[in-house]
Amino acid sequence: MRVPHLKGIVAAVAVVALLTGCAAQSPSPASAKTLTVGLTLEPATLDLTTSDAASIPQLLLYNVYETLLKMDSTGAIRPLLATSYDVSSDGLTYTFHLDPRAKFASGAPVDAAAVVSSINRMRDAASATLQSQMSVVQDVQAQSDHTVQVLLSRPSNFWLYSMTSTPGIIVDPAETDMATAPMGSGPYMYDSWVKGDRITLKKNPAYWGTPGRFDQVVFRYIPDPNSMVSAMLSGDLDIMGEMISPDSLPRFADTSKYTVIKGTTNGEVVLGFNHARPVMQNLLVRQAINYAIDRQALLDTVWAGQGQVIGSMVVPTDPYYQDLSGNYPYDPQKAKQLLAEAGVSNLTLSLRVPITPYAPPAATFIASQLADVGITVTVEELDFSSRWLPEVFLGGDYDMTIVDHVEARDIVNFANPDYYWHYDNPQFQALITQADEASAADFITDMEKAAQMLSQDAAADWLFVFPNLVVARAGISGIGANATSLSFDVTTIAARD
Amino acid sequence: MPLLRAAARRLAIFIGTVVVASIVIFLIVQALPGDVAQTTLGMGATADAVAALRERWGLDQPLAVRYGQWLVGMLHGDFGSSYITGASVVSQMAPRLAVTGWLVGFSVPLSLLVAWPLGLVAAMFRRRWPGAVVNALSHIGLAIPVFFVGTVATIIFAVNLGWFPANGYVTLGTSVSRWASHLVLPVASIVVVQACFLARYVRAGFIDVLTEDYYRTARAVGWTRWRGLVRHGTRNMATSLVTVVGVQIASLLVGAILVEQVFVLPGLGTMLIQAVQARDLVVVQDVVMLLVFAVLLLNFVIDMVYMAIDPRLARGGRG
Amino acid sequence: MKRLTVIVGLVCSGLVVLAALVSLVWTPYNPRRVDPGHKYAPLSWTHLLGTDMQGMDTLSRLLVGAQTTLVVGVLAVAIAAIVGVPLGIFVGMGHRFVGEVVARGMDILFALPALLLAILLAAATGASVGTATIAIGVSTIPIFVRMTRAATLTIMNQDYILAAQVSGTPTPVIAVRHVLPNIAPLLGVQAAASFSMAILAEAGLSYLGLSAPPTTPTWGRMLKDANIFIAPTQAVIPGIAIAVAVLGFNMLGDGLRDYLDPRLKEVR
Repeated sequence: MRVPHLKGIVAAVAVVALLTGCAAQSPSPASAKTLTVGLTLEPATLDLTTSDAASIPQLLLYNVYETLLKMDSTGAIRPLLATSYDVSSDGLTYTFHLDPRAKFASGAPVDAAAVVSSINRMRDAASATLQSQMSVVQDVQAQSDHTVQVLLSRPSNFWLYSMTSTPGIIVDPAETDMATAPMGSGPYMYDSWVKGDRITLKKNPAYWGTPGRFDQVVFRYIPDPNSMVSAMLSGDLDIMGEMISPDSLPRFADTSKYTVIKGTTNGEVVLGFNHARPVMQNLLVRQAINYAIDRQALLDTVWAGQGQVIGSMVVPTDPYYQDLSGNYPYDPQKAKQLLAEAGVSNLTLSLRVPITPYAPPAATFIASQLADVGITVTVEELDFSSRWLPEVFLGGDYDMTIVDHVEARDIVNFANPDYYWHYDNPQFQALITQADEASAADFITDMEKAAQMLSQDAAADWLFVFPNLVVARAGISGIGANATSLSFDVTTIAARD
Repeated sequence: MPLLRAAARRLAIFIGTVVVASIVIFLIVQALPGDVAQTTLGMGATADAVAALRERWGLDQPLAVRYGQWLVGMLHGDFGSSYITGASVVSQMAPRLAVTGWLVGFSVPLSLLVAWPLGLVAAMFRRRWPGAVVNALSHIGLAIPVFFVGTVATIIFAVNLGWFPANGYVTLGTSVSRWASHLVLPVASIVVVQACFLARYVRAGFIDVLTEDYYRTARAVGWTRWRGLVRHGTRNMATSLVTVVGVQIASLLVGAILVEQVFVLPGLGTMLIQAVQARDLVVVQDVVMLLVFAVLLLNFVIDMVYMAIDPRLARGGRG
Repeated sequence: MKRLTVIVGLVCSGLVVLAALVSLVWTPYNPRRVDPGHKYAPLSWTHLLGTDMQGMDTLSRLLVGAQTTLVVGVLAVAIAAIVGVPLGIFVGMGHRFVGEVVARGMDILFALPALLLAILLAAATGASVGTATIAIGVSTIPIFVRMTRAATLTIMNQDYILAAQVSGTPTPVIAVRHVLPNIAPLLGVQAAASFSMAILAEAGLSYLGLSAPPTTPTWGRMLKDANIFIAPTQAVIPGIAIAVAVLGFNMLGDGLRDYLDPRLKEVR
């Protein structure tokens, strides 16, 4: 980091005046190669077996913890700790062949015993999401030093996919404190955490594969959009990992200084309906809401036109994607007509949204457009973890809400009637189970049918696909365009200078 | 020794107040809806998982037991452990306290340093243009929200001029110069507003002096107005400023949250907001208690200082 | 000078009141209606103060925002005065032990500033203009208690109070008939000062997301939501509005005090 003269002078004055004799300057950090990345949400804990927060895999997945298989930026499954895998013809037995070179940062080998203990750790996790993702696993055994066999209770396309994500990470068996000292086999190791400010990773000097390019990687947590942009513009950050005020993108138009990476994520921004509410059980009302909202205008207004309108719970990088965005064109007259047909008048709905960069402005927009068709919307902002989760997600106290569902292939949540939308459609549930157990080709057609069913039933209003927007200073390369996993993957990033 | 007795009585009252405050804080914090186990588990929470985690973290104990443990722990310097990470609160709070401490520690003396001459000028020339200008400036400075001052300062000095980092924090141990450069804009933003606030007190204090007999006497024996004001005024004000500065420190300890948010500083305020959001109630309790204790202690110390200055106060005390 | 202070105070606070009144009957546009085609419109004759990220008319939102500003100020001061003034008079006229208990209680309350209360309140019931107002009001109580008590003490030795006490007039009657009218002017000054502090505090709480929801047009919220890089005027406009309101009520209070303070008159 450069220190301009004035800064130095002010600093010197301050120090001399108020801290005489207290000079403990450490060796200049300029000699160490540092990558500074700005992110928005700081995790409360690093233990991903107790917490579902996406901020934990964002930091640790692939960087610190590795998985047997990895999802690359195009959405394809690639080898990582396992060089290959075999599936039995009945789809019940998976055999993973581990890379014999692989070892943890602690020096211990990533052998079959370590993989078995890690998979069991995930099966016994406190997080119900992990438990359910691992529920199809019946048994896991070491066949030899470098071969692991996993036995499933039924065939599952989703399970193999989940092994590229949090459920599939391989934790060092010596790990005792995942909350504050994660131990994995990745090219970077956990170093330190200044709560409320930054988490620092350092290079794993004994990494078994291609080593990381930086001596340390600093993740700074900046929740306020203006502060994030300031930090990038003032040169404090090398990478703005999440562009949370896309309106500000024109400030980074100078290509000699910045690279703007635009791609897609697995996140569907969903205007969710509470199907447990009688009024929301009415298909005409749900369709009316879909017709009443101009999604392209919403995307242009709220997220600077970045992203893409979809029409169902499927993102363009999914293999079974089809464009359903035209199913409910913006038509307020039609919406009014449907509401009249449904015999609903003077409708008042609550729209309780978590405090995120996208949800409150989207809520403001929706409240205005629904007011045009005669629906009164009361918007309420809730802190995500302390209020939205207990009240909306678990308590079901809402009519509508807006959330970016970041998990890959999370269309399956509509098949769970206990999930917070309370969408209970036996036909859809049967279709999803059929798809999960189907052959690769049938899987695609079944999933396409499922997505269409959701759209026709107006099970929700899918507002847009959350874009992956990353700004890097010129000279930084290797950032994946699409965020297909939850990880902010720094393993491929390099700096020219 | 009536003075000593009065001091002892004050001390007893102070301790009693602290204990009452701790009960009030404990009850308020425990009454917050939401649950740390639930918020930690996130979208994967189920009733069973929540209950298991609660048990693991000792949250199933009765209220009185937990209060007792908390109080006794604090007396031993043990503020408990965060539910979520298991790390001791003291170890988490110390670095946060340091950040807020630096902010307040630099801002208060600096704003006094700025306010004193401003107030003097405003009082001296209170019916001429310098007084009017200072007066108007202090009014305007007081009316602008501190976070707005901070945002504008960031744009000018960090984004456009690039003199200082826009936000964030570097510890003193990491690099002294980077530590200092990260503190310049936050401290300056506080000083701009606080100096305006203090300047008005300084001005009022000096104007008070203008009406006092000793000032007129001094003038009569040939002292200049400056000498009279500076000599007598400063002494006169020292006592009333003790209270004002005390109030200022108290309000800054919490008020620094705004500046911490603008400049993304990991201070006590940010810690409190994060802990409330995670429902990590042990941390919330400890931070609120620390802030309240600091203010009560400040009050107590000011009382003692007054008593030392003017023993008559030993009887009645301040209002 | 003194007159100028009052005039500036009256003009600024008058503007705020006027804006609030006008917004009750008329705004140029619907302050809650989005206009996707007119995002961040510059200042022009169609949109005098431009539009925000949703294409909403800023002037309309500013006018409506004045209502919230005034309501928060009035209610916060009312809460502080309704609790603080009787308590202050009671303590000022009454028993030393009760006085001590109230004073210590106020010490605790004083140590819980509006920000802290608002964070805890918002955690308990969710953030709204209401919780912000209550937090500001409650945290202002100690100021009113101390001021009222001090003012009451200074007049307790006055002849008319002593005469009333000797003639056996009940204490509550003395408080209402003799004490309150005599300290009322001072209360007015305090109310104006607290009013401006309340407006500033609400802006701060809005900035932290502890006050109005996004659909409610308030000045603090407009300032918080503004994109300072792309449309800086959208941050400056509510900033100026807040400053004008705070300045106005502050100067009004100052001017009033100067008129009431006999000692200051003497030196002039």
